[in-house]
Amino acid sequence: MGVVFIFAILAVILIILFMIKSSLAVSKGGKILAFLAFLIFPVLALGFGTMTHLDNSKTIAFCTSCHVMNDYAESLYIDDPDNLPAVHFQNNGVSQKEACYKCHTTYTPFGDLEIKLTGMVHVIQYYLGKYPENIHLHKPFNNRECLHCHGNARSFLTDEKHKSIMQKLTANEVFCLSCHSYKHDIENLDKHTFWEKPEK
Amino acid sequence: MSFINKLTKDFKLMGILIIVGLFIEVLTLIWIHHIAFLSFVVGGLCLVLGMLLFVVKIFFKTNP
Repeated sequence: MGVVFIFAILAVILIILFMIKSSLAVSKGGKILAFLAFLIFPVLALGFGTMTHLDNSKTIAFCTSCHVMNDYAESLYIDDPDNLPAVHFQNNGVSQKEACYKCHTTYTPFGDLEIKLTGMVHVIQYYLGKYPENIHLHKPFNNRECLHCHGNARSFLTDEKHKSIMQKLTANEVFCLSCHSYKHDIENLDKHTFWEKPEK
Repeated sequence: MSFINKLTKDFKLMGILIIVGLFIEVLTLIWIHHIAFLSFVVGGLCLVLGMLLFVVKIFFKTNP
């Protein structure tokens, strides 16, 4: 964020100078300065700003800025060792800051871009009020997203049940979530007890 | 052509667009919210438009 600020300040100071006295750009040195002020510094500020925003958009705080997501974030605190999202979140199986993103992304070369474009569609749907009452995934949860972390884990590779269906799992013919309970359990949220994370 | 000349003759329009764009960008960075993200996109468009005008200025050599 600091880098964006520095480039922005530099650009603004120089641009104001050129706006007050445009004849500054006549000399060779002036032309170079104008090139920096009107092109290079803004491009750098835009680039670093985009990176910061993309990072910010991976956080739970960002996801829950749409109120329809609040229940899903709350479900991560369900006090139930069999609840998959809650167990991953509470035991730091996924980053607690970026819990939504870690499971709901596509681990592909353009995964970040793909998921953010989908996210933009969700934001538009949110503003148009065109989202379903019961939110569901567009397509079945791809095993790739689980195997990204678990695929090389000893506990996964040596498990007899996994061994017998390993090929089917990697080929997405059998879904991880068909055996593992994955529900955020939004419908029964009020019936659960919740983990209270201690303050450090 | 004269319209482009008019737009790019001095640095005022492109300067304002870039300053507004940068201002929005910096402002949105401190807020983690989807509105901030959308504002950032709008600010980015202002910025790109300002920079495009500058590129046009270089291309057509509309010196002050």
